[in-house]
Amino acid sequence: MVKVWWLKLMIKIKINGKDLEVKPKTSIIEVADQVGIDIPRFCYHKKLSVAANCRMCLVEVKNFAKPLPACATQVM
Amino acid sequence: MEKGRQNKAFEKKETFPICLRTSHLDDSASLKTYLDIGGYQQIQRILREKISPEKLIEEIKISGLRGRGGAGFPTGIKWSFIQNDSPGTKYIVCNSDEGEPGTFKDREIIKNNPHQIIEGMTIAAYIMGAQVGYNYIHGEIWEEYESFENALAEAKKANFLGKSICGFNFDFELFAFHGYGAYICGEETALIESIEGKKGQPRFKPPFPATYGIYGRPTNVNNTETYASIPWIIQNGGESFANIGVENSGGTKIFSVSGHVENPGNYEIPLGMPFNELLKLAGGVWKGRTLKAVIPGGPSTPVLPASEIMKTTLDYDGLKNAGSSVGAGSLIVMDDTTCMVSTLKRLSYFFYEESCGQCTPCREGTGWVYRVIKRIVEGKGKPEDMELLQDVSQKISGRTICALGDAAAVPVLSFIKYFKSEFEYFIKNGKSMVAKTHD
Repeated sequence: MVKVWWLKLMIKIKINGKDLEVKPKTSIIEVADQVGIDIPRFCYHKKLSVAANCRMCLVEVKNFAKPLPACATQVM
Repeated sequence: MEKGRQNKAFEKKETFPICLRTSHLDDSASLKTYLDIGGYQQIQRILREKISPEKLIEEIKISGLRGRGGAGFPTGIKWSFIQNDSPGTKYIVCNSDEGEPGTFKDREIIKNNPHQIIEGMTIAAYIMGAQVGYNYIHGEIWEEYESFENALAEAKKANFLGKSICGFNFDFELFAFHGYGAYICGEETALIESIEGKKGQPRFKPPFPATYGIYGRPTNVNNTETYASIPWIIQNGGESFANIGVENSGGTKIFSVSGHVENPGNYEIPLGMPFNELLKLAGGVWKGRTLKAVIPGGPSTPVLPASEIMKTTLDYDGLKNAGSSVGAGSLIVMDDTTCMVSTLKRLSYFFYEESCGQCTPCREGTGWVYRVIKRIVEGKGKPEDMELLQDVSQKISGRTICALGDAAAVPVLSFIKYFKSEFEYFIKNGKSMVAKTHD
């Protein structure tokens, strides 16, 4: 079995009640795309820089009062 | 405007003008006047005695000075975010881009007391180790811009700015930057973009300007009034500044009183003054009419009806408990002939016009809010329009990059909260509840 060094750094998160282990420094929208959770978006594209101004991909994040853009928020 | 009319509070013995302390003097903007009242003494004392930045920040923290631009963030804490000894260029920016309807305090400080801003910014630069400063002046005020440029030239000539200030080992360059009059450039990251020469649109935060500001360097942005308070605090100590105001709200604040009063103008009052005292200073409601409502801090703060505002004190906690906020201190007084629906139409038109168009909720939402209120005023309102207005406003609020989205939603929600019957009457009957309407 191949051991990868960053396995130790994996972050445990929960999206829509689903437990996930993801690489650090990835955005919420990337994670959601990988596991097949659909977050609607207009201005985000993985080959473009993040603008975060269409506000279509706003998601509720625990411990934050306001919804955050999934494209500009990194998992933590 | 005639002298002495602007700062009526000065005539009362119990008040202490700080930012407008020269406005009753002749030739108030000149360097000579400022030197006569003890100006530029503090920066020289700091440089001579080599007072450490930590000590100065401690003094400002004691003073309880809070950001005067609207958010009310404690200045001492904000200034400790930027490390004095970190390498590279750092910037100090003064935000004089006041563009909200009813605000006219910064322009008066710039016009009458520009040297106090310059000294305050120089002290700020010393505390945060900055080398370059900008004063971003609103695009529609030419006279004040020229006044500030003159003051800069005078200060540079007298060696209060530039290389080795007053012969000490400290350099600070200050420039005036004339904007083009966009309301959005009063938002600090949009202001930074504008200084960089780009389109004035707010940046996504984080990173905040304290780490990534002008050209990616640490930048501190504060309001004009905040900087203008600094020399007085350093001179008289934080304690005496805090004692002027009340708990949690130290010092004085300029309230720009406008609307239906006998003597509109700028009043620098100690924070914690009851509202009816300020109303008395401003000569009361005009033509002997009764008070209907007051917007205490500019259109981005919630409106308060007469019954609420009359028992409120003008300070951060007092207004917060009443459900509003100090904002920029642009107090708009409305008498009983004011039609709240038409007033809201004018305010929502302002936000619709000034939305930068970056975030979808604000760009589309402000337009919808304006169009719906316009159709109510034209007598074509539908019964479901009230709910529609509230729904659209709630969907703008908290979902945009900058605070302008929240600001645009505030008047709509607060006007409907307190004056619901007036809106319902207008929709039902196609005309205003009060006799006279104005646009």
